[in-house]
Amino acid sequence: MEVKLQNLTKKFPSRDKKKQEDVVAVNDFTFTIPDGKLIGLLGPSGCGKSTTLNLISGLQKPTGGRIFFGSDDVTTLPPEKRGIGLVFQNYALYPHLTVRQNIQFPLGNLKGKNKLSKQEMLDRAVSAAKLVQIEELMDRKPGELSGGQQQRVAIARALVKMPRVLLLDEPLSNLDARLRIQTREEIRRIQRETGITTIFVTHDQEEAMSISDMIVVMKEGIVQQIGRPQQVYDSPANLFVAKFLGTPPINVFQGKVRKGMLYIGEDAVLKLQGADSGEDREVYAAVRPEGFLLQEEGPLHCELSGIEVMGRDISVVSKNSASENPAIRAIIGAENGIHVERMLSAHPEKRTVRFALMPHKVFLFDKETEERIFVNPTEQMNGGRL
Amino acid sequence: MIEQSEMCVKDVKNSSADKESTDKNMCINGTDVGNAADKINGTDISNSTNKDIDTDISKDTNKNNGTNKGIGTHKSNGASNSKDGAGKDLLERIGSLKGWLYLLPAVLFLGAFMVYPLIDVFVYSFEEGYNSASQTYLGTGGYNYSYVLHDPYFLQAVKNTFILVIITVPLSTGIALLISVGLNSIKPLRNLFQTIYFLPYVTNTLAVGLVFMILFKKTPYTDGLINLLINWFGGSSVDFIDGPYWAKMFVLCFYTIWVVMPFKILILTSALASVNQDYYNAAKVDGTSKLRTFGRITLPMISPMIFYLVITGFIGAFKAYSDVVALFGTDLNAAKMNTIVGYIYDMLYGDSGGYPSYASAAAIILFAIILTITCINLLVSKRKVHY
Repeated sequence: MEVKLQNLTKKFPSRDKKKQEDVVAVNDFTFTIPDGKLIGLLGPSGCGKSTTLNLISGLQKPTGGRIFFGSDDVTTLPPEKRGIGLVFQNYALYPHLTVRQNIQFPLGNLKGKNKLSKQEMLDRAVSAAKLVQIEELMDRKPGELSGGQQQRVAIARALVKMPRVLLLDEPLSNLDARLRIQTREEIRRIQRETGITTIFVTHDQEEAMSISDMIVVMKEGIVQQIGRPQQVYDSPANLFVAKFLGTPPINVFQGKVRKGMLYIGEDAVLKLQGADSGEDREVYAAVRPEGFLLQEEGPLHCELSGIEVMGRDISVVSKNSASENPAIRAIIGAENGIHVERMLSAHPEKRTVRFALMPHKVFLFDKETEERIFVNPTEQMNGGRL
Repeated sequence: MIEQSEMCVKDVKNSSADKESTDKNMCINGTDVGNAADKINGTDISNSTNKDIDTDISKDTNKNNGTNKGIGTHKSNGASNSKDGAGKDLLERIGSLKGWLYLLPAVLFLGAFMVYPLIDVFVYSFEEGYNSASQTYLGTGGYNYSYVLHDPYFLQAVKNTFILVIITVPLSTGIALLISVGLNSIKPLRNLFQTIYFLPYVTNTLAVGLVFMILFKKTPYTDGLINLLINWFGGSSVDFIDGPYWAKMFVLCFYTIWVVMPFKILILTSALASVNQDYYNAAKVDGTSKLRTFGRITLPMISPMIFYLVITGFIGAFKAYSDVVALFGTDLNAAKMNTIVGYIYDMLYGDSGGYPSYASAAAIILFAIILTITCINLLVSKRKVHY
């Protein structure tokens, strides 16, 4: 089922009576979710992603705009008429009912010609349970299940009535790190198997990136960027998106463009090409951690503060006066790390590291608007100072 | 085990004088259970007082028998380092002594004002013709019980009490539930209504009784407000206070329900408010009807509170007395409106007073009735109440 949001807006009246301004939770959201896709709504807390989900579910009514499921306008329909399955952040499993009763609960609401016999209800509950692989837990109560199992029961309960759209509100936030990775794979698998258009809300960018077909990054009710996860990561539309995606976070520097050249501090780091590259201006230069190359003669000079070893790779932590982040983290392969450590032990007094930057890992943003400046940083520079 | 006990020893040595005793006791318990790690960390503080006693007892038996059980593992480990072992013994002693010291005030007060009187009443109930002034009695036996159980006044009181309980407890709880659900589903003025509903709770029983007298009593000058209403609808006046038995019982039940309702509403509204909104949202998304939501979700969710109210309601109604006095005055036997507690009071101090033995026997019977009913309640609730 294709879900179409058209200029969707939700305003809440301000608590503060002196201020007449409304709080805008969702601002003019227009987006069409293709049929059968898994969409991640991503943003920091308070960005309106949960409100968007509630609007789609019908638990809240929009102040403006329309919602379509396929060709049906569902904007004014109550939640139960929309054919949605909703999984709550805390799962909202009924604690006094067994897993079987929980899963069957939505089926018991069917009336008239849709009414199911007991055997049909049981069959559907069992097939939903099989889908999420909890069929052996059917007679337990939710209190006797682990967090991951509860999550599966909640998903089974949402799926049992065969919804047109499945909505998940922070589905993994109550799980521990290991379970989270396992469960998100599970969500992906269930979504693939059922082919139900699924929208889930998360504040964890890694979660959204790893399983979504598309992610929608939101900030303060406004959609910042929509796209495939890798595409958004590789080409952020603005500084916020660049900062929000990726761990460790992107390194932001105060930069200058002079004569087609990008300077960070005093160092000329990249040669620029493109429409806007001729203009001299102040910019934010953001460099992905994996965009640093450790080179003896690299153009970017940084003061080394330490090395963090994380198994697969190593991050070189350093400082630069032009950096917006308190510490610059450059991720390099572990084999280079040995080289770094050897270098450090050989010259303990040497506290300067020099990096070259990979052009496609560097993004420039306007200092005022924080919007992306689309220039192509092309060539690496070898030395050269302002 | 060795590691654990070493940790204990270290704990004792390192911790400040105050902490020593608790750490100590926890360690011992830990070794007993064989799962010291949790306890050593002091996660189980709430249990520490109870365990204090356990430890103390087990320690005493160890001393007396000269055998090492329970804390034995501990001691034998300590023995390898005799100095530590001796220090530990002393600390153990001080620790358990301290535990008893902390318990002492509560034990003293509970013993003097609850346990002793209870036993005393039980003893009196078997002493025939006990005189509290001279502290003498004629003999012992079950005569008091036989007398009380054959006393028509007592039987009337039992009948009255049971009618009161059976009518008021379900009715008041049911009505309170309806009002609470109503209150919970309105937003504006909810607090105002809550306050209004709570007012009877803070009003004196006798003052409320006075109001009910004005409403119901028939005097030579006026038939009372309720009779006025009855007359309007074409009925004839009824004397609710001095009239037929059912009329008096009606007033009593009405009054009792009215008095106990505020507390129940208060408890139930807070119970309803504490049900997570997500359950209702989940039910709503699934298209659950209002009635099914109430029956399958709301009621089970607040069932612990409902049963709490039913149990305390039963106990409260069985102990009814002041309400009856407020409505019908002190000569309850004549009005045929006596309750069990009223009967006990009359036996002790009333016109027919001066019979502490009979009063004790009646009190023990009441105690037995309440105990039985409460046990039945708990058994039922175990099956019906969730969690």
